[in-house]
Amino acid sequence: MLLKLENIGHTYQAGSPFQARAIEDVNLEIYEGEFLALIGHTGSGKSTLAQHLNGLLKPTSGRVLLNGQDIHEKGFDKKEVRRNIGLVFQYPEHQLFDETVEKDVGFGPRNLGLSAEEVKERVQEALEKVGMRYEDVAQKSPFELSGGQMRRVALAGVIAMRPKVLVLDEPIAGLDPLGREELMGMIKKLHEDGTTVVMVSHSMDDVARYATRAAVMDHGKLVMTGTPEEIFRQADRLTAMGLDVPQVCRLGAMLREAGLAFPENVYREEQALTALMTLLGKGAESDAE
Amino acid sequence: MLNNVTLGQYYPTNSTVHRMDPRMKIVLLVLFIVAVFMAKTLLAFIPVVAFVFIAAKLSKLPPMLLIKGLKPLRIILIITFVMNLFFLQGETVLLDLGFLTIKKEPLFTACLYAARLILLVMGSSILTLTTAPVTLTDGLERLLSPLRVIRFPAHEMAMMMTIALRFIPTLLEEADKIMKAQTARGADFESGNLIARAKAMIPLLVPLFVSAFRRAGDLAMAMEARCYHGGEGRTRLHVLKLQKRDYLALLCSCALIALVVIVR
Repeated sequence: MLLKLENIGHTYQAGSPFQARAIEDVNLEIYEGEFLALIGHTGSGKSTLAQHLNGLLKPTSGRVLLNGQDIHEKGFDKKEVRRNIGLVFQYPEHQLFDETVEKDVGFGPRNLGLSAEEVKERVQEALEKVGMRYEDVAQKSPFELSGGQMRRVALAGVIAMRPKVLVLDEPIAGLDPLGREELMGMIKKLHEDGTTVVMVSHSMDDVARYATRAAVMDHGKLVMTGTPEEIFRQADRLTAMGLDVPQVCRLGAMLREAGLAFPENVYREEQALTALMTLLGKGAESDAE
Repeated sequence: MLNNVTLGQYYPTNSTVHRMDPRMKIVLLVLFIVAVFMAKTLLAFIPVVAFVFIAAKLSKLPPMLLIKGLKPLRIILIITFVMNLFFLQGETVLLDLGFLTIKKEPLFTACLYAARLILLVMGSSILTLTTAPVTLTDGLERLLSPLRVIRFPAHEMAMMMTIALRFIPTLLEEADKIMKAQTARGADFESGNLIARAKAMIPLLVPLFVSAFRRAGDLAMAMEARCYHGGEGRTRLHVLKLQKRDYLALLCSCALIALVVIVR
């Protein structure tokens, strides 16, 4: 495995009257090449957990291991962690600051101490990966772009560091449906190209569609891990935690209630289509593309 | 990273002093300051110290809190004390070590100034510890509102102060978030010389300003949407009303001033 969280606990402002326990006793491993979705209601500790993955927060108890080494041990180079694990915060466009898109995206690579040519190469590559043309945007100010474009530039700023693991905290929050679709497409592409992805998400549909594994947080504790199928099978437990299931699951439940023989383990739209076609007596293979 | 910054000193205990009218508390502080400066003899200090003591007792604040509040003062205290002690002229020699002499009059003056400083800080601490910042600005606004006749913008001043106070924690949170985001991109805020550090602040300050302006715009819009148009003809949600305890406190402090005037 790439990253391992061992009995991680974090208490904010420990020892003061304002202390608040955000997460406790979390054990989580992140495997190379997976697409892990972190689910949980607001305040369940997902974002705090995400910030432990690249050493931004130091756990008040437990260890974070990168390739088997404790990243908070004395003498461990923090830059090594930042190089390997990229973290994209919620509303990352709020962190843009430089005069041009090129300089802003190049901020991370420059901090890694790369040469000017290498930085430029990475900026071009990163912008391309988020679906922007270098020639069009490189010399523009990031502040004259639209909200969706700013989000992409911010994402490119992290991708330009070529992290092995990309941690995204609710990357699609506040985007319109088209923007979401496009951004999720880019993240999927990054995953297919070999980046390990950890994504904090509220959208169960996205979890069902893209994730290879999901982890559920509740009140600071990791309560479930497994494939999306395994997670969504326990719909009652999710509902009890104030979480949702994918829309097709709800549709399936309604169809079953109406007396149709709709199968239970359907979580993705294309699965639902196949199931519906079968129900309607048509050949699933020919219609479902 | 920035979460150990505590803002404002308000310490709620819901004591009589806490519930007092903020206007009266400000007036009391002013009277108290006058008394502190008028007191010139040991005897005159007795009622002043007693006043602080009673106020502290009534406010139910932990005594350590008040003493801790004096900590930032210690350097100024020591400097003024030493300066007064050695550079003022005096006649009666108390101690002669050859290279330095301690005389009676300067020693007395040095003690007087030190005591004044301590009392002033303690008095104002009691005010800020027992009054929430927003209540305090509210009181200040009401006290300054008669100055409107000379076109002093009391309401606008108070509104600005209230908004500024309201947004300090928000901006701190924002700064913390941006700092983390830039650190995740390899930014280094902690090492290097002064110039390198100042330069490292740019990726933090630019987004912070952008967000502060955005918030200011949003707030202005929200206020206008609710028909805010300045202090003219505005009524209040919490109407301040002087209670018996306020008058009693005023009486006490007038008595204090009178006492100090008599015995100083």
